[in-house]
Parts: sequence; C-alpha cells; structure tokens
Amino acid sequence: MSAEEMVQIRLEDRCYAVSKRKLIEQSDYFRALYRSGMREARGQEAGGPEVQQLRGLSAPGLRLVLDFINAGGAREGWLLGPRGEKAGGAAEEEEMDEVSLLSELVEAASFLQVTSLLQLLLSQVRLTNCLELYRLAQVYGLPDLQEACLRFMVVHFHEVLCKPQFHLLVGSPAQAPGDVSLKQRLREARMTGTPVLVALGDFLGGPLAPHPYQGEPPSMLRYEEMTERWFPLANNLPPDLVNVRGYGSAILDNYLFIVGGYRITSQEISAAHSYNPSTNEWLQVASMNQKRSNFKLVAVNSKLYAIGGQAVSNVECYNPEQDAWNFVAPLPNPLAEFSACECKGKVYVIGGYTTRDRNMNILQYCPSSDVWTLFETCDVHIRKQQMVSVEEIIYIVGGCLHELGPNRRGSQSEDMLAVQSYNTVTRQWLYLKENTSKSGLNLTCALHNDGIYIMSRDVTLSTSLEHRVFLKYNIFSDSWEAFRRFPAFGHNLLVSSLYLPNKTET
Amino acid sequence: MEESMEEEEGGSYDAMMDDQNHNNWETAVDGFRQPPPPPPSIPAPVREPPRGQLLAVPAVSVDRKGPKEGLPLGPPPPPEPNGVIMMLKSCDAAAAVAKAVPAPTPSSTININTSTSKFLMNVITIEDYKSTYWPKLDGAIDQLLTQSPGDYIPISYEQIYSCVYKCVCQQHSEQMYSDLIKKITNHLERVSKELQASPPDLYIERFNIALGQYMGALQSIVPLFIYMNKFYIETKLNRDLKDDLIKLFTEHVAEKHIYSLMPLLLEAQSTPFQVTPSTMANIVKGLYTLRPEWVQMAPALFSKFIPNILPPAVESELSEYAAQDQKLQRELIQNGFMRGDQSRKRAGDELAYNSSSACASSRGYR
Repeated sequence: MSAEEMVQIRLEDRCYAVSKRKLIEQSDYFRALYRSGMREARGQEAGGPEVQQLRGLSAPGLRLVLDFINAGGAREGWLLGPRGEKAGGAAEEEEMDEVSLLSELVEAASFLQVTSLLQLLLSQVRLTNCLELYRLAQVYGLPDLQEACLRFMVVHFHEVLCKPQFHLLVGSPAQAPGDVSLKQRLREARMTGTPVLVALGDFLGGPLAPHPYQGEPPSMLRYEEMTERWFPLANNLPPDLVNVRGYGSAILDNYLFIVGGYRITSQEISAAHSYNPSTNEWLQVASMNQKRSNFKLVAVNSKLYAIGGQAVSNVECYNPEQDAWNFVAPLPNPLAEFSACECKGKVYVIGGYTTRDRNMNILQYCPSSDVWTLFETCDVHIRKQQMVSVEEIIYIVGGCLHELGPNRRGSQSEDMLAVQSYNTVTRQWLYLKENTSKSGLNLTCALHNDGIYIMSRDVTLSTSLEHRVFLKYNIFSDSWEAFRRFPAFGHNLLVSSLYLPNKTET
Repeated sequence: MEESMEEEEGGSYDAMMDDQNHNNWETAVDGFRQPPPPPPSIPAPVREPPRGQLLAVPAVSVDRKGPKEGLPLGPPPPPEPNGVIMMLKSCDAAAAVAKAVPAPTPSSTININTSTSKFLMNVITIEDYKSTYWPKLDGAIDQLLTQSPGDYIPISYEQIYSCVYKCVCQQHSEQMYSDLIKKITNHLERVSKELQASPPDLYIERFNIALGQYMGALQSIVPLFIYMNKFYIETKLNRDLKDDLIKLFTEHVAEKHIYSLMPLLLEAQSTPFQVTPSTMANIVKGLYTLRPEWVQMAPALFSKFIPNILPPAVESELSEYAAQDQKLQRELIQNGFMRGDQSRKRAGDELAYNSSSACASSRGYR
C-alpha cells in the first residue's frame, strides 16, 4: 500500500495537510462528510474538491485540533495548548492566552466533532480555565464538560466565586429565566457528602492519643460514628494558626473559617483562614481590617460577620465573592463574654457585659438593612454561653446564669451545664436540660445531625471531671446521649460539623 | 447541466452564508471565497468598515429582514472591547485579541455568545433563523429527498453543516428539529398519496423506489445534522435522528401500505419474476428493518431473505424437505427451466435488472 492519503484542509489562506485515515478516525465531521456523498466527499478524479474548505474557525484553534488528529489522538500527558510547556512569562498573561486559545480550541474541536479531544478536556479543568470552559460547554452543548466544570467549581467554590469573571458569567442573560442561578447550584452542591464531626486544636500526645498515628499529634481529627472513634484528618492547622486563641470560627458554604484571635504573646491578629474539606486544604483569605479576639464570627446569608471583640464594638462583613472585609453597622456598645448566632437570616447577640454593666438585652442585626435593634430585654443574665440555632429556635448551651429578681432557682451553681432554648418568634425561653455534674464554661459545641455535640475546650491530665465534658444533647428527644469520650488531651479545641467528600469518590 | 447548477448553487450559498454569519470575519469578506473565486451575483460591499456588520449584508438580505433589534445599524460605534471573552481578560489581552481579530467585536449584544468566535459573533434571532437559515436547509433537504440514489449531489457538506452548527450553537435546535420532522413528514405524506394512486402492477416497484430513495436521502441528511443529533437529540431527547427519521417512514408510508402491499408481494412471490428478485429482497429486508413484527404477516416470504425467521430444520423431517425440493425442481422443469442452465431466463421474458433498484440495493439500509 502506498503512503497515507493526505487531505489538504484550507482555512482562510492557509492549508494544512492531515492524514485522511486519522481525520476520519478522529473527526465525526469528516467521517460524516465522506459518507454523505456530497460535493466534498468525492475524490479529485471524480470532480471533488482539491482541498477541504473550512470557514469561520480560528487558525490557532484549528491547528491545535489538527495537530491532535495528526498525532493520532490522545497521548499520555497531553496538556491544554503548547503554552503549558513554555517556561517564563507572567502567569497572568499565560492565563489569558490560555483562555483565548481555549475557546478557539473548543470551537474547532466542537465543529469538527473530535470527540476524544473534547473528552480529554474533562481532565484539564483548572482554576484558570473552569469558567471559560463552562461557558464554552454551554455554548457548544457539551454536557460532559459542563458537568466536569461544575464539579470542579463546587470543589473550589470560594476561589471561583471571587474571580471577577464569575459574575459576568452568572450575570449574563443567557441563563434561562426561572433557572436556578449557577451560584445557587454550586452552593447547594457544596452541601453534599457525609456530615462529619471534626475537631481541631493543639492536641497533646500520650497514652490516650487518637488511634492510629505516630509521631507528632495531629491537629485535626474526625469522628467516625459507626466505630465511635476519632481519626486524624490527613491535614494539620496552618502553622500560623497554632497556639492562636480567642479566634472566631464559623462555617460558610462548607468552609470552616478561623479568623482573628490572639497569640500566646497576647498579640491580637486579623488574619483569616478557611479550611475546605472538599480539597482538604487550608486557604488564607483576606484579613480583617480590625485585629480582634474573643469576638463572634457568624455566617448569615452567604456572608460572614465578625462581631465586636475585646473592647471593640465595630462589626465587619466578609463577602467571599470579593474576598474582602467591610465595616458594617457597629454594636451599640463593646461587649465581653457575650455570644451570637444566626437565626432565620438575622444575627442575635445575647448576654455578656457592656463596659459598665450586665448586658440584659437581646440585640438583633438585620443584614439587609444593616441595622442593630434591641429585640428584647431579658430578666436572666447569661455570659460565656455557646449558641446554635435550628429554624426559629436558638439553643443556648452552658455559660454562667445569673437570675435577677424573685424567681431565682435554688442553690445550684451558676455555671452548671444547661441547655436552654429561646424562640425568636414567640420570644419564649425554655430551660430544657441540665447536667448537674458538669460545668457549662469553656465549651465548644456544634450542631450535628440530630443534636448538639458539646466538648470542653481544654482537657489535660489535671483537668477536673466537671470540666471534662463530652456530651451530646439530642434536640428531638430532649435528652443527653453518650458521645464517646474524646481520646486525647488538648488545648484550644474546636468542634464543628462539615461535609466531607464521600469515600467512594476518593 | 449539473456543473452550472452547482456553480449557481455554490454562489448563492456563499453569498447568503457569508454575509449573514461571517460578515465579521477578518477584514476582507472576499478572503474566504478565495479558492473558487466567483464573485457573488449580488455585489456586496467588500471592504466595508467591519464593525457595521449589517452593512456587509447584501442589500437584498437587509431589505427582507429589516432593522435588527439590538444591532447597530447606523454609523459604527467606536471600537470597544466587549463580550465575555473580552471581560475575561485584562486590557493587555484585549489588545492581543484586537490584533488577532482585526475586526473589532460589535458592541451590540450582551449575549453570552458574544465572543471572538467568528461563528457566534452575530446573534441569530429566531427571525433570522426563519428567514435565512431554515430556508437554506429546507432547500437542501428537498433536493436530497427528491434526487435518485447515486445521483451527484451538488450540495456542499461544509456549508449546510455550518448552517446547522450555527443554529445549534445559537439555541435553535428545538425549532430546527421540529422543522426537520415537519418537513420530512409532509414529504412522506405526499409520497404515500402518490403510492396510493399507483396502479397495482406498478405498486411494488414504486414502493421499492420510494423506500430506496428515502433511505438514500437519509444517507446524506443524517450526516448534515450530526451536530444537532449529538448536541440536542442525543443529549436532550435521548433519541437518535436516524431512528427518528426511519420511524417517520414507517408511520407515514409503510404502515399505511403494508396491508395492500403484502398480498401483492405474496402473489408476486408465487409467480416467478413478476417482480425482480432484487426488488423483492429490498422490500422484504426494508420492511423487516422498519418493523420486525411484520414477519408474522408472511413468515415464509420473509424467511427467504432474512435468516432465522422460521424455526430451525429438524432432522426427523429431512426426507420431507427433500421431497419438497424435488417437487419444486419438477415444477421448474415443467415451466421451462433446465437444470444447471443459468444462462437463460424463461423464454420470452425480457425483464432485465432495473438499474435504479440495483443501485438502491447497493446503498442498502443501516
């Protein structure tokens, strides 16, 4: 047999030679063309064309696709565009080159229907190109690629969200009316996986150290409910978070944020980090404008609010879409030993001290109107409590209760561990459950599945039993449940509930 | 004759396609018509400022369509980087793009499809689709449906495919699919009526021609629409264009004729060479492809052309099979057939192979 039959493909004033066999093998366009019996399907001797004319494609895009076809399809280690191999040059410039080249490549590959090349793109989705690829997938009708981009954007949600291009993509009117916005879809997709209780802190080694690990004690653990055991997460706190106390923490879009606090040296900080369980990575995000510690961080309406702090009344809002903090309406007074939580799209601040007196007011912050209002005044004073909410009910865990007036409860100690609820609609307080042998101070708690998991923040060998709390309050049965004892000593512990990727995916 | 048709055809395609869609390609509109450079019959202003995209459209087209909403008709606005791609880049990149595409993007639409892609630069409104794109496809489909199998097809695959591609990318798949189905349904209903009017002695042959012509046309129509098939019919409807189009023939032609056709086939079968064997084979195989259940109407007939229709032979009946064959051979000899003599047909029979049906069979059905 003679040498391979080559086909000349003309685009504008340039011609490209491609093996006819490979062309038919890789491109559905040419396969169909040669089967169609039309003008171009004929050989030259039968009056067919000398060249295969293409129009409307870009030359660089076509060249990439034809190179791919000539090389016989997918190869090991194929990378998007030859740019990847080029050393040097500003990264940004490369990114932009890639984006424009990408659209040309996808167009040519879509037009010629080079399925294997389009398939290969699925593994080439990056932070630098995911938005563009997503857009292209929509335009050219490539559902697999669109799906791959969506998966990628879910995993890297906040990083994608703060790209300026994201808003151009989302804000485009190409979206069908009534369509759930891309942002909303991604946000919802973040809330999938397995809800897992995660603890972090400065764990101490020793005979009770969690199983199985060797060497340095890990700083992040996960609780496996089936076996009732704690396992290390294959990650650790970033070094600059070690030994930081008094920080604010909150979960936003299944990212665990740890913000502010103070170092051992009593130096306050403004840095902010987020842990992404989808990638098992810590990211440093924009720092607050104000250094603060012993404040509350609350996630409301897809934003974070850093409320008050040591002698600080101002409030800052973090928007992951801009990766920036901005001051919003401040608290009426600086507060100490107070707590706060989100409930039905509003922030509630309860308890603690003002600079002069006990804070008996429940303050409500409305993010949309950026206004603090006095919601209600209570007749019980509470401080140092933990707060979580379910629907319109705020659960108040622990703290130090001090009742004023004639209704004082007997002689019980003021810091006994108790769970109370406050209904923000009926404004009714309920004293739900108490545990007379435990202290309600220095706790960390998290809403997880059907209950509130409550742990002591600091547990060492010398910690008394009443300060070793490992309990679960079941909010549906209003009862205490066993929560396997935390198997390690440690300081500065934090418990939270995150969705970890399902095991099958790894 | 064919040559001149092709020229005409090609010329008008070029004029319409390029002006409508590619008007912003590079600066020189005539650039793409290079290889065969016949100037379009309508003198298009070739070196018009690229931004005034509609100015490049031949006057005829503009008149027909009238002013387009949202597109600048007047004097071209100053060049302005625009579209998602532009916004995706910083100014530097915008400059780079401007270099790569001398014709700046028209600052016309806010549609996401606005990109550097020359195909997608211009929004195709539903009116554009109806007035320009579908008529082009309609014409091509007409030609493919009515020509005889094996005829030279003067249509350019690239041009029609591009037309389909653009309509798909501009979200007109649903409309295009429905137009295609309507178009072919109408055609098949007409075919069916013509068949009904056929005298019985021509009925089988005409049915065969209709079937062959349609299947032959599908060989060309389906490849033209592969982009729509892949990105709309397969993904959104979970169907396949070829299956859909074959089904149309079943519903609108075959089902309507099967009850008159089948007795004629059986009768023809019992009279050797009333119908050429190839016609018979085509029809029977074709009917089987369209609807395998039709075997039940005449298992013996279908079994002659399609394997494994009848139950497998049984050893105990071998002597009976042999007796049947001997009886057939005796009858053939009585009718003038000599054993071993393949060169002669029945005396006086002039019926020769029909070239068109032979051709149809060679194209086959898939």
